[in-house]
Amino acid sequence: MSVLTFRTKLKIFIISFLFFLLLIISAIVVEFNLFDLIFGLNRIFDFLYALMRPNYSYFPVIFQKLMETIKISIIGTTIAVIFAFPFSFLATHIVMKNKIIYYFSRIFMNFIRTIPDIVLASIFVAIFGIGVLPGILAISLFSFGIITKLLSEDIDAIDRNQLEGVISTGSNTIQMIYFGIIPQILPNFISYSLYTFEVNVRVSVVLGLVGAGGIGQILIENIRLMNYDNVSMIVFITFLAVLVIDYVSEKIREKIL
Amino acid sequence: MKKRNFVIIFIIIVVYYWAISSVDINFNRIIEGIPRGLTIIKRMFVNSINLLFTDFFFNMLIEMLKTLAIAYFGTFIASLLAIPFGFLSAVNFSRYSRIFKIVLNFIRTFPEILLAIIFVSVVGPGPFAGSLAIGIHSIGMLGKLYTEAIENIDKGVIEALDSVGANFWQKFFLGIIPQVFVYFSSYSIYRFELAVRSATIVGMVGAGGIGTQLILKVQNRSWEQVGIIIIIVIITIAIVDYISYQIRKRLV
Repeated sequence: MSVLTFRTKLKIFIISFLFFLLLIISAIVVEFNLFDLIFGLNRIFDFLYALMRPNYSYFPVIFQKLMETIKISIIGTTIAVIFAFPFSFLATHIVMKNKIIYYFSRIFMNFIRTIPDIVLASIFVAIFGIGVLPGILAISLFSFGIITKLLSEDIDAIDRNQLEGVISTGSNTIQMIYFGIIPQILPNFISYSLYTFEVNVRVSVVLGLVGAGGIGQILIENIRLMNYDNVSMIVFITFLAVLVIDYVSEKIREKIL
Repeated sequence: MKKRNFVIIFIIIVVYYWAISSVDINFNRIIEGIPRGLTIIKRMFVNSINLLFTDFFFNMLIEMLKTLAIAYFGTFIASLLAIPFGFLSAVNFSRYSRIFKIVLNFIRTFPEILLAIIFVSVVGPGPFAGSLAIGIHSIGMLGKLYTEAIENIDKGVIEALDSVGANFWQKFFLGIIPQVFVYFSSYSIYRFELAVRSATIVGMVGAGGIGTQLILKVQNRSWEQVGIIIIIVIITIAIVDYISYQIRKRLV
């Protein structure tokens, strides 16, 4: 350790001191208690034991709700894509010369992205009542944030030469976007849309917990009633569905890029 | 090529027909909901100005700090537990890497809100349940990132240690840990960013912190208070993201 100078040693000491100080404070704040955990462990084992014995006869109900979840994601993602595509041009340096609109749309985009999806869903449930509609709306708003973020960053990073070539022929803004920008970002755009769809299947599982339809709804019902064999079947089927969807979507994205 | 495009378009049409035709959306409900939605938004972000710097506001700041503590403690648990998982699922260290990769995948798919519900029933409602849920859930992603870091280490260093006759633990602490430590800490800090968001969400099922307050206020329809909480959450997340980004930039 003699290689290290006194200053580096001091720095390492201060950083590790802060790290452990924060750790101790957070342990106190979260009421860390090993006994609670140890005494509660039998309930985890109960749960794990139930997970090993899924209730296969529950499958038809799950399948129907799973399809609802997938439909929510498809429609939600589509709405998001339709609005995100034009909007992401507003949030780029290249197209948007008006600074006010540019900053306003960037702030709006980041604002939406930080609101947790489940909060959006519970607000929409309050507005429109229980059902698939609030789920779809929450997903579209949330994915809108993700897609515009990714896409506007891509537009900022496109090859300027190609764009200048199009501009030099005297094109207007629409032509510039159509011939100069869209061909460059289209594969990424499709890839992001599929990626968002993947994420959304997972998200919409959770959204059911606040009454936004889909498989989450029966999940929370069964947890509350402690029907762990049903819960196990739901978790199992969801896991499989997510794996299949991720796999298919990844294959498609590989082909596109 | 033309035939392929036709098939793709056909599949897309079928998928959309299936999705839209069987979902029941009542348009009356949308139309009725819009004015209600506008009032709610106005109450959340306009009328809520009166609540700024009141007792409620400062109480919520304390709840937010609690949520940060949940995220910090949870990430700490995960970054410790992810180390053995990382080594066990790295191709160059373990014969069973494939099995452990599937396990990590499973942990990642398991919704953390569900874990939170389970831990609430195990240790009782409160922030401890939240941090355990985040701790277990984050193993999935951290384990995967750790694995990648371990699989990419420089073999030469280990061979050099071999040639001077180092034993297993000497190789481990002198050859491997120094190479992966920077990545491990950078990933953990990044995971902390995400954990702040998750800690808000798991709070909504009774795992403490600001999420619990948020769901209570939503259920009471006190939209002014909801607005304040959302603004506090957003600003905190922005600050955490910024600090974490600066630290990670210096690390790597």
